Amino acid sequence: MDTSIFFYIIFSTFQLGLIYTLISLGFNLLYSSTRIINVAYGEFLALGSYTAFWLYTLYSIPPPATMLIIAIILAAVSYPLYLLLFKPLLETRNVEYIEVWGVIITFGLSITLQGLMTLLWSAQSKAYSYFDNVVEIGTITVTFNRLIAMIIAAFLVVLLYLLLFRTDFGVSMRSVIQDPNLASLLGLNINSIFAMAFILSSAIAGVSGVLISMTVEISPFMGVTYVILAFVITAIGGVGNPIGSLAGGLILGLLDVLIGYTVGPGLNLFIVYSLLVAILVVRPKGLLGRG
Amino acid sequence: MLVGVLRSVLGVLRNVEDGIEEVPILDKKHLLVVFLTLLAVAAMGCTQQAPQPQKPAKESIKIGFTVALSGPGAGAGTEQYRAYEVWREWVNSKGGIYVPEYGKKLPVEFVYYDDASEPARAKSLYEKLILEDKVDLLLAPWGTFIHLSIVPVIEKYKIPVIGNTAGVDLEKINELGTKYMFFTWPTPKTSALAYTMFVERFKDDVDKIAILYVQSDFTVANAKWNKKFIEDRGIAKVVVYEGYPFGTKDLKGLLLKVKEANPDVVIVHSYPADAILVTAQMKELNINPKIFMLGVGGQILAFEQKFDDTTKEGILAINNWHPDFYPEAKELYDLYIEKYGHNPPSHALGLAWLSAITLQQAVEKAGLNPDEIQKVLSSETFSTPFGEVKFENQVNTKSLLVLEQWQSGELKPVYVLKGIYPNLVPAGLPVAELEYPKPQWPQ
Repeated sequence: MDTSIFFYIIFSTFQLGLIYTLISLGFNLLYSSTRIINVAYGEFLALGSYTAFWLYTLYSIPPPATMLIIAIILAAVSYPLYLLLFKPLLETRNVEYIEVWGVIITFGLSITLQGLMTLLWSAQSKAYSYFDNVVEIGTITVTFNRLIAMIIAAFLVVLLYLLLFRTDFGVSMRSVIQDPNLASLLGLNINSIFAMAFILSSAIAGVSGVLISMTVEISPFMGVTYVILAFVITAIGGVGNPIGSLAGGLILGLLDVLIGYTVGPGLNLFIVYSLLVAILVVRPKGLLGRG
Repeated sequence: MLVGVLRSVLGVLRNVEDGIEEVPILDKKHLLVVFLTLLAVAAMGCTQQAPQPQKPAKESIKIGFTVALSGPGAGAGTEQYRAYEVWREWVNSKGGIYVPEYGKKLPVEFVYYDDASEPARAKSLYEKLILEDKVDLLLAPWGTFIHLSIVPVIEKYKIPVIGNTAGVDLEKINELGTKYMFFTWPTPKTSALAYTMFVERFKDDVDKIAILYVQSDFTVANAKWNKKFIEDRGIAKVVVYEGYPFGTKDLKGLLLKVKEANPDVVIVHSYPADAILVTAQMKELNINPKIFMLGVGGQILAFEQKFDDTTKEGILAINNWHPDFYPEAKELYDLYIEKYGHNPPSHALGLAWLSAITLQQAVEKAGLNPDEIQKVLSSETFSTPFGEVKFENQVNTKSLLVLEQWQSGELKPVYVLKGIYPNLVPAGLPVAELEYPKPQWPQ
């Protein structure tokens, strides 16, 4: 293996891994704080992709700007959704009940959103070309839009880390993740934290969707693979630990490249799921899990 | 009169319920009403004739189908449905399909459902179309695996279906033992041979070939035969032969292997999503083969939109038609664009039209009787604006294999063959000049 291949592998690990991390962070935050498995997470991501597509195609608005727009839109839409769908459920304070019904409700939401997107924009997939040119970094080459996505993803991961570990809100959220009952006894407003978790999670999904939309084809059903990915990374890295999501994301990014380069991508899914099972057997809370 | 009878009956019941013994059950007025009712019913019975074997007047031809409008097949399924709809409007604008037993043209109406890309759902919906909706004719669903799932239904009710977006090898067709499903997309062996024959023209200039494929039945078969034919003919060495899962998000690892091998030819037996992924990552890794060929997916709207003209320049894809070949093909294509907006001439459109027009011509010869249609499909040759159709062993032996190349942002046919494995011959249709070698990726 010559050195440039080595650098490609390292670079790709981060390029893929950071996007994976960002995607799984939103999912992880919501699940660890509220115990809701948001099956519709992938559809929020898809909505982000569609928004980026339409704003760029119709008004030439660059995707990085769309990120802000979609974060605001999804935040605004998420709060009423939270009040309607999740607040009553979360008030039962029964974890098993919340987990089961969370899946059922979000599954319904997922199907509804897929249907809505198909109705509005048809099932025919779409794509757009944004900074598709290739740039050189040392001995390796990378498409500029992927480089942008990687840098933005890194920036957002750091931002989220700062939010969770350096702000009062972050401390509150991590308290709820660790022990919601104790957090409530200590006087934290659990309901508003739950609402914020949902809003934040949806915004992260939408922003991830914008980043991904620069490189993949966009369709109403694109979200399914991403929600599974988010779930797998959360499980591997550990529920409730954003560092775990980073670790999980990077591990998966590395595996994607390494497996493809060595035994061939055909075995990718098998290896990843075997790894997931192995980790969960040895450490049921994931590598760095704590929630 | 009915109200009167009802009142009488209710009156009787009420009396019985109240348990009144002495009140007469039926007074004179009620008795008269009941008697007249019975008389009327008897009269109707007498004047009712025994059902005559007369042909009810027919206003239209009902054609039924399911198509993937949701689920993974929805992208291509939507195109296929739209193509069907354009054909329907086009044929109705000319008065409809001529049906011999009525001696006139009848307009076409559709009865269709979304099968959600699910074979089991498609199967029960086709049964519903036949038994409940009582359609006159059937059109095909999208996708090989769904075509295969409805075979038991159409065999049971003996209704022929001209398949389109389904490519199946002869061995599999024999295994199915079907007499009612007809395949128009070339068998994998046939399309693999077309790829091989194309590359063979540059035999002296190419030493190494990489073959990649997405792991689905159709593409796996294509790749397998492609590799075999290339090796059998000693065209070049196959230096990379690798499959990747459907829905994969990244192919960097595999393409690094391809980059190291530095092949002259890269053939990717692809589906839409991965055609885009492979192309983007080949460009990113600056892998510049002399020939870069994609399968299905290299000719769809999202592919066109994703890459600018210079990036697309020189990339090849496989198809089965082109609007330049026949004026009616262009007519339908222009109608599609007018109705649904711009779309490259993708395979789903051509196949949908090929199957619909062949069905139309079969009905014009044989009428609406399914057995007669099946006979005519099995024995006759059809000439359509999408090529000739002659079924043998349920497969079209005169399929067009159109290898086309992106040139200045448009898909141009560059190499067109006709037939079925092992007999593929030049089709004699107008082609553009091939750009060889493929220009380097723009940097």
